[in-house]
Amino acid sequence: MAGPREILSRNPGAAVGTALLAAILFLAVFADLLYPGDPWRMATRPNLPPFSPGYLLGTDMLGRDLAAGIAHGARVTLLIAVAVTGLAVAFGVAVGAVAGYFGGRVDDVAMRFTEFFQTIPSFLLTVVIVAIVAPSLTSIILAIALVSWPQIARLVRAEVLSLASKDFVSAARVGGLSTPRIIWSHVLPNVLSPVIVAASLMTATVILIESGISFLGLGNRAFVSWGYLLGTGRTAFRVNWWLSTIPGVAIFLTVLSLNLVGDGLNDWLNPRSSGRSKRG
Amino acid sequence: MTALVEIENLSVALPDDADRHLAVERVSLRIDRGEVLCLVGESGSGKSVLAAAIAGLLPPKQLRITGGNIRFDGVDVTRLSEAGFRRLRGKRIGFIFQEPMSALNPVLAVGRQIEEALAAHDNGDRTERAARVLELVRATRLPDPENIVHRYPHQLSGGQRQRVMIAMAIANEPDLLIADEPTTALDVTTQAEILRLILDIRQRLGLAVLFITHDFGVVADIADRVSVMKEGRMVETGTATAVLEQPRDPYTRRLIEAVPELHAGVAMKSVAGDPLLAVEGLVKTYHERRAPWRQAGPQTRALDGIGLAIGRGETVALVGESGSGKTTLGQCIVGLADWDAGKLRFDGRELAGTARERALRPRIQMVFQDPFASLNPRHRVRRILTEAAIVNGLPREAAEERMLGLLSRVGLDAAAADRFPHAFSGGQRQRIGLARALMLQPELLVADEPVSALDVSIQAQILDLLAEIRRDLGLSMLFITHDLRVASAVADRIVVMQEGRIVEDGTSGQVLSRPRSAYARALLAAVPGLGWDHRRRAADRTAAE
Repeated sequence: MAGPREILSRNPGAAVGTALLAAILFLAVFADLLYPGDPWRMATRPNLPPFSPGYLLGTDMLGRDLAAGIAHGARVTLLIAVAVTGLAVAFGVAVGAVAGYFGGRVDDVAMRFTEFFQTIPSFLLTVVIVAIVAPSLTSIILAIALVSWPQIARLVRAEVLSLASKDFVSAARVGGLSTPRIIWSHVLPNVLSPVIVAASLMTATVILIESGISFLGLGNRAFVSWGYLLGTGRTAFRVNWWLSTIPGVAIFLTVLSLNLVGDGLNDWLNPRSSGRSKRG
Repeated sequence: MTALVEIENLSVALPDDADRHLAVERVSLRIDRGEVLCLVGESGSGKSVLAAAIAGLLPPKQLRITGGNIRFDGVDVTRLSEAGFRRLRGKRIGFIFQEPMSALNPVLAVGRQIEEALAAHDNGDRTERAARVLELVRATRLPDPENIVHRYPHQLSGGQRQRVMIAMAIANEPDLLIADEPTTALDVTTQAEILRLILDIRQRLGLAVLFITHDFGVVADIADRVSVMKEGRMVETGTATAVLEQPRDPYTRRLIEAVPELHAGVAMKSVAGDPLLAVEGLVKTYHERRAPWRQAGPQTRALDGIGLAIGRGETVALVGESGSGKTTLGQCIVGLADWDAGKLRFDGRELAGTARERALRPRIQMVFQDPFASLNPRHRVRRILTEAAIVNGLPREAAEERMLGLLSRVGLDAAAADRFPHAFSGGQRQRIGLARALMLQPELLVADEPVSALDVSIQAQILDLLAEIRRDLGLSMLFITHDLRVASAVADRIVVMQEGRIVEDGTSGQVLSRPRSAYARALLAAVPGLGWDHRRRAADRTAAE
């Protein structure tokens, strides 16, 4: 397996993505140090354009610092994205692995259940759930996770289905290994790279869904998220173009960096692709 | 005879990141009108690339001709445009591929596909072409011509699909038929029929055949002349008798020696006492899965009352064609499949099916067919070998020690332990697979086609290794194979299966020289290169005297 350093030098996109993501994470982690206090606080004169002294990204109609909003919003947005992805991947992998490995009736039941969620338009379902339940952080995370897991489950099922009939799985069975152990240590590691790629793409989609919810004004007002900033800035677009453009750019860069990182991870985690240069 | 194809100093370059520069290196070759030229070589020898170059089928981005020329009937085809090639291919050069299932279009009826080959080169109107299609279907001896033309590829058997391919290839009465391993994916009896058909058509149409194969038995049966390739170079060309009986090149000699002779080896002492494994009346039926409210689908009896015994230290070869149930039987024995009725007794104790007798499991181990699929690509060799042993209660240090002993026993060095499977060749992987099976110190080894995915010289090495190991460890072995030559090289006893039943069971000497069942006789007669075998044995005898 090639080292991460080698992968980054061979795949400049992944290096750019990693750097971007690191910067965004830095912003999220140190938001309180960089912009202490409540980001909703009215700090100065309203409608300052970007690059005003002391207010790098300008201010909104109420004189709130947009840079502080972006920094604190990064925290909320990433928290939601990571939590949803974690939940969806865990549940999706479990359902997919069981369906694919055992096949037959188990597979039928698991897949009909999965399809039930896939037939409902996912964004609408989240919006409905968030609108009915109180829009707390937890309910938003659960609502988005609920519509996100089926694609992981289907992906994992398809991969496991073909892996379960491979001879190395038979060899593990002949060797007397228990079924959970075979699934965990022989089958699932071989599904890892597509799942990681799918997860990084999903993180990006989650950010978009969450932004959509907040944009529609259905999110939790107690937290600043990028989608909320984008949504509130929209009304003043003719006067303050930066209020919706800058959160939009932040979403774009994060989604882009996640895609690039997912690509690089795939390259790194797949032992066959790292041996590509040696064997034709 | 005049030359139809003349190749001079042809070189074909491989992409930059390949393990060598040239796929084909300064090869010269002549194919005369009406002759069968066999091109022999192991995987990666460049034989398929050479054939593709003649028909202009090289993938343009990866492989390009860097030197030399190919003249087809006097015209240099290396300078031909794609349009020029299109007039040549199909019309004057027919091509048959190894895997007829992927070479045929799955959504078109086979008659349409044959007709298309005709239409591409302007052969009369629809009715004329339809008549010609029927004629071709009859010429390739497909059953029920009027109906079979409306069938789709998946409705035909492998042999029938290959006949359709041949019908397409000869539709326009070409001068040259290129056949790239056309029988490798087929059963022996089907292979024998297809070979006979190709020779027949050659005679009738007077076409030249370039037959690519790795099987010297096939060569002995059909070749007029033979060319042997190794790593892109031509090492030897000559008449079939000259190359097969007095090979000049050391590489050819090694290849030919590696082909197992079809006669019983020195029979091991007969086995006394209780058998290690006894199979009684084993039945397994596959049902087509249907929704519960529909009628039960058709059933396939994979095992239909199997009775078999394997003695201690005995090697039994289980021979049969695809679909005979031999793999299913192996899976029942190692515990990968359940059965519906019958008994399996191992060392006096009855086995209950899958996943139920963990304690007995390590004593029966398995070697798999595909060395690329049988090792987990994400685990290092160390883990592949030691994991099961540790799970079965061996301390880590003892497992490591046993692993090192086995690595050297199968001919790999200790450094192999820290590498991933993709760093090894097919033969080396099969050695690792064998070491894994031996890690648990089994008493019975079930080997399912362990050498059929390997080149002939590697195959001979693995067979030698297996023989050595079972001699040293006193293992019993069930060796599943479709190849009677291989069976005769390893087995004390040969058991022949057909459609889920055992039709023949005897010592290898008896089965090979006096088969009792009609099926075993047919199987034996279909082994390619029988005549050559007799001559080889006679030569060996004279050499011995």
